[in-house]
Amino acid sequence: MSNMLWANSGDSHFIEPADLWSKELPKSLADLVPRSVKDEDGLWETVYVDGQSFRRRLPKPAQVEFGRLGSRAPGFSDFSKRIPDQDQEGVWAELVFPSLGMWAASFKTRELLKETARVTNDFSASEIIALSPRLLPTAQVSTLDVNDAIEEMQRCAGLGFKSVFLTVSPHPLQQDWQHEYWEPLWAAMEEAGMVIAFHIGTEPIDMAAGEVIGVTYRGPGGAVMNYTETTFSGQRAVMKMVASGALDRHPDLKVMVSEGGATWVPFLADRMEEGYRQHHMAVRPQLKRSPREIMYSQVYASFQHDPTAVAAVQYMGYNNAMWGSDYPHLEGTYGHTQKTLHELFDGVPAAVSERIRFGAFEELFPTAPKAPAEIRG
Amino acid sequence: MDEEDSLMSESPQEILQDITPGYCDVQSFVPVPGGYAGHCTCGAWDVVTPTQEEAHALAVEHTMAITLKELAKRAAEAGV
Repeated sequence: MSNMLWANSGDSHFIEPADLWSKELPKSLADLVPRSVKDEDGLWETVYVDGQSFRRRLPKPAQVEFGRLGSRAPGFSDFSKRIPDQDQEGVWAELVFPSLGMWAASFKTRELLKETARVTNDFSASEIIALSPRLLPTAQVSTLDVNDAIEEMQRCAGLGFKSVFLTVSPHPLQQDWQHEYWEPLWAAMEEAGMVIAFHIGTEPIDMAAGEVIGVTYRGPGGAVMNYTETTFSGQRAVMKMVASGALDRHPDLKVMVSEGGATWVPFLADRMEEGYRQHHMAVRPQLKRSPREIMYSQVYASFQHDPTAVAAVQYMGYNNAMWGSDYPHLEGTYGHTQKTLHELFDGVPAAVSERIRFGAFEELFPTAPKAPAEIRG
Repeated sequence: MDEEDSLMSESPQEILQDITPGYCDVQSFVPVPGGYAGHCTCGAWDVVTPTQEEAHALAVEHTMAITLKELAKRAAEAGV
């Protein structure tokens, strides 16, 4: 395409080999990682994970097809095809989230959480960081124990990681992000220059209750409502980090919220400003800066298709919106990235387009290689 | 039973995304003092058994009506 429009991506994914944990961990821990056993009738399966198990109805064919479409890109698991995929789509540098890590909050054994994070991070370092400086994988840490989290975060900073993937809520057995318990992690991350990378839809599963934390809908509109619900969790995580004073106490600590859109930041800043001002007599802690000032300077947010996200930068003064491909997921732009980018940015002032496609990402990850001048557009 | 590892490409939330309280979507088996506690998302089935296998067997029994209905539906669709 002669008028190819390029962008960095604040939201991409890769999948580790399915047997990574079972191959790399000692047997005592490998026996605890997730495995599935189907019932003889073929309608149900039981998933065993860390001494617990749950039995569910197997996905219907339409759900299986949904999953297949979401992993169809060649470079999702075959990393030799990763950069060719991105060159074809027009994606330069990208923040890349692992997949197995989504399971970590289902583990209850502290050592298992710690060691699966270590194994995944070593894999990411040797296979993703080493592949190309354009790929910035997020490190994983345990969210059950703050000291384990700090230790692994610091190790990963030494391996070349620039960010840490955190689920939108910590482990179900641990206190939520707004609590003092996590303060040492925020201080250590600020010192190490590591970005917090929240990804929407990563609410931990409370296996003991056999249910998802959050809201699920059934019936008319359920598919759209369930997808939309995942968005709110990223907003809640930011709300906790701002209202608790965590970001105020650590002004060099930056937060990325991937896949959740961007126009919510001005909206949420409005709501928090009003609450902070109108309920000032009840507000604890007092903040040195206003919620809006904190959010506009320390919170970055990625979107893939949302046209109003461009308006957040152009008209609302929120400059930290960045584009993300969500490669290779079904909600993402793989296969139609150029169409999406042109629809979003054709006719948009050059400075706004440049900021969303490159500038915000480069500000958040200053050591990432900059796109060559000839492709910046 | 047929064992496979492919679930690792799905997140727990994707796997459990269809759970709705009040329906027999998922049964969980969690270790408790003296055995395993079985719970169904329908909210009307809770057991404590000495082993995980016994809790699982009771869960199969609990959901048998759903299983038979689905098998009959599939047989009808296949023209059997």
